[in-house]
Formats: sequence, C-alpha cells, structure tokens
Amino acid sequence: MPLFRKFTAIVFLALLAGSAAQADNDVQGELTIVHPWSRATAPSQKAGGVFLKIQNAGDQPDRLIAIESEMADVASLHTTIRDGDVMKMRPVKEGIIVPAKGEAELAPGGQHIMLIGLRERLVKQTTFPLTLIFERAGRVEIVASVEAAGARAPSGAVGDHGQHGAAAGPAK
Amino acid sequence: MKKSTRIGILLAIVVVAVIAGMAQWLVIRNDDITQNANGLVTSVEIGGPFSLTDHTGRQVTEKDYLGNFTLVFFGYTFCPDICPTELGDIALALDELGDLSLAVTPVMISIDPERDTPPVLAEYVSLFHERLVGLTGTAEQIKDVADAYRIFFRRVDDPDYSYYLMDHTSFVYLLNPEGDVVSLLRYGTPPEEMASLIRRQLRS
Repeated sequence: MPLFRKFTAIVFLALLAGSAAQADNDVQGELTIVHPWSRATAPSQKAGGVFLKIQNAGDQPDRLIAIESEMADVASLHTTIRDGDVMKMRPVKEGIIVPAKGEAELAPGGQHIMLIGLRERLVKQTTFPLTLIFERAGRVEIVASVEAAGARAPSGAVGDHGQHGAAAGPAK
Repeated sequence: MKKSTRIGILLAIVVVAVIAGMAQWLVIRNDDITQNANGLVTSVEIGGPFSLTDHTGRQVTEKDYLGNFTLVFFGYTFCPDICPTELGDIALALDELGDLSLAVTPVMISIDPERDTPPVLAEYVSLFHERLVGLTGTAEQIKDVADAYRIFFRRVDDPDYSYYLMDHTSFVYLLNPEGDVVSLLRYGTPPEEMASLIRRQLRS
C-alpha cells in the first residue's frame, strides 16, 4: 500500500522534526545537550532545579563550570548526597566533568542546576533560556522546558525520538 | 498459624530490624519497643501527638487526621530536587489507587517553618495533589513532631550566598486510621510499590 507507506513516512518525519524542536538540543562543537527540563513552581517558591544530559562526541573531556540565567539571582551546580536516609544538597564547586566520548547526566536525586532566588514563576508547558559555560566549549545557550511540579523526567523522554535526533545532532 | 500471618510476623521482624539498624540519628529507645511475653518485638513507637498549623491557617493536631490513613512526608518548599520528586511519587501512587486513594490523606510537614508559612505551603501543595495537606508550625512545634517521627533535619548555610538549605531524612510514613505508623517507605520507593503497600494496609 504505497499511500499508507507515504503516510507513515510523513508521520515519522513530522515526529522527528517535532521532537527535535521540542528537545531543544543545542550542539556546540562536540557537545550535545539533551532534554533540558525543569519543574513548575509556585509563585512563592524561590528555588527550582534544572536537569539535562550532556553528550560529548569529542576526544577530549570537558567540564561544565558555571550557569547563567536571567530567571534567578543565582544559578549554580548542586548535587544531592544520600547519607543513610538523610538527603543533603551541596554545591558542586569543581564543576561537572563530561568524559570524552561519554556523557554526564543531571537528573533528580543527583546532580542538578539549582536556580536560587527565582525572579519569576516557572509555569508548566513554557520554556526559558539559560547558558551553560564549559571549560573548553565555552558558552552554550539552551532552552529548558517546564514540566509538572512532581515530574521525574521530561515529558516524551521515554522511548522518545528526540534522543535519537540528538545523537545524530553533531553530524549536522 | 496461617501462612499469611507467619509472613506478616516475619515482615514485621525485618522492618523492625531495618529500623533498629539505621543510622545513628534514628535512635530507638528501649522503652519505645513493645515486646510480647516471648520477647517478640510487636511494635516500635514512632509518631504520636502533634500541634501544628495547616496550609489554610487552621490549628490542627494528630486527631484531625484520625479515621483515614495518612501518608506523611517531611520536606520543605525551597527544595528543588528530593521533595518534588517524593511528592510527585506520592501523587502517582494515589492516582494508581483510584477511588481507594480517598481513604488516604497525603501530608507534608515542613522542616523549614521560617520560610514555609501557611500561604507559602498553600501555593506549594496545590502543585502536587488536590488533597495534599501542608503543615507548619513554630520552630519548637516542628522540632517536637520531627523528634517523634525520628526525623533528622539541619539548616545548612552556604557562606557564598544569602540562602540556606536543609538536610533532612526523607522517609514517608503510612499511618492507619488510629494514627499508628504502620509502614515506613524509603526515598526512591517506586509509586507502584507505594500503592501496593497502601492497598495491602487498606485491606488488612
């Protein structure tokens, strides 16, 4: 059924294009930033977390050393440490290393970007820009999507096409 | 003895052993432990009376939550990682229970009363679940309830910034309609597991 095949191909391409745009992957040289996302906040809530994955296709490791954002007074790298059943959050002063031909993940329960002193509320289904500063790659502008307040992962990240799109990103 | 009873007792022993073996902050005093004539540990006293203020500004005590199961989590709103994750999981577990979830009241007790006033909590709890109750109080009231639940919490100031963070135990407690702690869930318990544990307690 040629018509059906054509239709499938169009749907597939549309999905690919849609998810690539939604994933907001930024590629700078050898780095790909996959699915930057955050969680909705209440108006009185003055802190928010940003999570993402950094893939490094290059032969040299890189290091995420700082974050800039207009959304908050301070944007810094934090990690959650589990000490028995006590949760502690601490700044990551030495930055986050992205190994050569490897990746670093900032995810709930671990390393994350913390926005402190939010200037505006993070509203579900909106996006906001921020800048990642790497030791080698320099400044990488990204756009994070805002998910539900209790989300564990960005919407559509499970079995999602965006990740494949992202993996193909550096070839562009 | 029925097989399920034996399993139940074994599970209770394991739970007690896990609790007893926990880190130094979770100190179980001897007089907290009830044993039967054969020396079998039958209960460990966790929880008890409290006096707090809910997110609508109402003065409440533990008596206000009797008659329903209660899921209790200790957290704070200036917490971008653990607390939203745990509250999101609690909401998912309740969704999974469907109508049964009406027998469970989800509650977050703030360990950061300085920032978490009732209006701040009101905005926060509504993000996660329509029936989530936020509780706060004076520093002393919070210390009392945290002690009763063996919750460790500590303010951590960062010399570089003018903000502070809180270290805190991240257990979720399930209380039965009589107000007794019947289960203790650790951070990271998948929502489906939480739901099936609650379902078992609702049936028993």
